Amino acid sequence: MNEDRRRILDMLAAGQISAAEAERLLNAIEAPAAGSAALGEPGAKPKPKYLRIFVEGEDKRGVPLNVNVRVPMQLLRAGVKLSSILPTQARGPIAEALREKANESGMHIDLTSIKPENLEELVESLGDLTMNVDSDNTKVRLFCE
Amino acid sequence: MIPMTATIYVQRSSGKSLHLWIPLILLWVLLLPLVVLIAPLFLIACALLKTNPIPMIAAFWQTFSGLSGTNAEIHHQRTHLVFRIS
Repeated sequence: MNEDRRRILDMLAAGQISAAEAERLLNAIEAPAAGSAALGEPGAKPKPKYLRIFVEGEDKRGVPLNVNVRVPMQLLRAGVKLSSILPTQARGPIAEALREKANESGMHIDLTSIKPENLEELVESLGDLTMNVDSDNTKVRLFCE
Repeated sequence: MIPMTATIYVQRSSGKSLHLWIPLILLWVLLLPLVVLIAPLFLIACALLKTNPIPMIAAFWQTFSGLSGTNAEIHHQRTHLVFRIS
């Protein structure tokens, strides 16, 4: 019996609250506890299931174009894990090619430093990601749900 | 869960529409003999590259089964296209 339930029952025993109020309070603490138990820990946020991308813009002729894409997070996880199965002989040339590209674009990506546990943490933190981009004729919204 | 069906829906403002329902499970069954034929070549390639094939198979399987739930919807001028994998 947890502390909240004990406190409610003590208040009921002391006559500070009625039976109806005690029942209401017990239901209130048990409802989020039941939801959290389904998630595995108290107060846990539900894991995001999909990455949603909305694009509202125009094509080259100025014709409106709307795109709505939903990608399962499982696919993202699997996709980034594919980088970890690259043969060792291939990693060197790929890293070299990325380094050359990085010198042009300024973005440094090192595939050899990507570890599976980091990927899981990265994908989980995507759940809090919300991106809104507004340019001249194009709006892009990206979020996880 | 592996993708079982794919749905393609195209609607034009002229009223014409196309609705395709594709049972992907049949496609996987047809491709299974091809996978069986390629499997030894894959294992030989992994042995030559000194790579463990099991993580590769697991990664490909996760990618494959992660396709379920993919939705894409495009609305352009007079055409509305919906593509779903479930």
